[in-house]
Amino acid sequence: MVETYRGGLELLCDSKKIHNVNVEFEQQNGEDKLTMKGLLSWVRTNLIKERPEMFMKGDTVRPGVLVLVNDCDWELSGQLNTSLEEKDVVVFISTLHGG
Amino acid sequence: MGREACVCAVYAMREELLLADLKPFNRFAENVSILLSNMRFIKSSSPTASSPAATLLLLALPAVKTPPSSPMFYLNSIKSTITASISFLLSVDEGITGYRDDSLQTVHRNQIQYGLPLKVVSYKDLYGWTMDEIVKLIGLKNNCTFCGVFRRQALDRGAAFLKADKLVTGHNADDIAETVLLNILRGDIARLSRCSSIITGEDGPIPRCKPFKYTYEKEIVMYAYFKKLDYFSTECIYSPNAYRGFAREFIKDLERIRPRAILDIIKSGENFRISTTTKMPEQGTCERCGYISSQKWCKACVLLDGLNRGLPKLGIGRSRVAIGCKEENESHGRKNIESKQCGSLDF
Repeated sequence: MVETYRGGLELLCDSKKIHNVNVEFEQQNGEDKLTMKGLLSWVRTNLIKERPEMFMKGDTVRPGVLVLVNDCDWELSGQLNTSLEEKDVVVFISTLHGG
Repeated sequence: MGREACVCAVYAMREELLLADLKPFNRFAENVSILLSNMRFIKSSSPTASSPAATLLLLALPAVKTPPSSPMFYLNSIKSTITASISFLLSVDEGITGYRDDSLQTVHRNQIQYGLPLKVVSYKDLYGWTMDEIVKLIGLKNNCTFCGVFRRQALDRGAAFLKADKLVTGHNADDIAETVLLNILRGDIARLSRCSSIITGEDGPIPRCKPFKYTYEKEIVMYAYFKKLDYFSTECIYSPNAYRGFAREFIKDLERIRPRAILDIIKSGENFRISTTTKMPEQGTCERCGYISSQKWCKACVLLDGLNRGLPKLGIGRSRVAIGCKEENESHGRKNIESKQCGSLDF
């Protein structure tokens, strides 16, 4: 799976924009499919190096952070319930900058 | 329809630089990019502070006589008439190491990519101070006030230098909604009445317009992403305390619950009517530099004078008595809420 961070979010993950990651599917209690919800909590524990509040709010991304799954806005694919498969590309773009 | 050049100020604040895709038209039109980044209206906006680099895109385009009713209308009118005009990119260098120098590189690439002449005006040249020096003196509080006030004037001066007759900024719908809320929170009735106008300063030498007024920031960022546009997204290192950040988050929270809230707030701003008996600050000119001002001295001159005299707090907050701005409202013997000093908060 490929993850890309844009709009400044890359700063939270060692300034690296593109991450190729293998997410353990088993973490989904009982479910055999990985969803965005599962991915976000995985990202939070494994990828974000600083200021997680800049990325997450509650169990979802902070309002103002755009999420694209295979170049499709996740609001069209079910947001947190979007299911993910091998080789999917997830992009996070922040539109929030300073004040 | 003349050949007046129009200045598009692309306020490259938060990053998204949107270029109008005019390829289907002609080669010349390809050069015309419409811009935008999170433009912030220069006002006192300092989110801009966060993206200080006001990247101005001076766009050549004939004077639009009637305010366009929508961004698309605006773009179309540009497309059809663009060939007769001249366009420029205008950018402001606030002098912020590690931030502006970085984003200016992007602007220089844009210059080549879009084939538009670029003019960079710097705080150092205009005012003798860089933001780095100012922050060193005043700290991280109120610094965005300086930056916002100076930027706004810098844009106008850059536009005047280029002999442009319009200044176009890239403020988007989210930005306008934030501004409406901020002006309500500050009780700034004068700005509240004009902040949601698509064109302001029409009676002045260089009107400003905001063609992306109704365009969601989200759409702009998406557009930039899919078009693979070259924009910068560094956050200003001096903006952590800016007031606008709170309004911004609030707007984004609202958008998630109900996306239309943003347009509704803009609509409310447009429909705001101020009682005709309300005393509004009168717009005159600064006695010192000739810039538009509702006081004896314009805000930039007051701030600058404070800096140069080693009293940087001058002009900040409500205690601006000093200097040349002996308020006329004091002579009215009452304190008008509407004539109190505005623009003293960080945005």
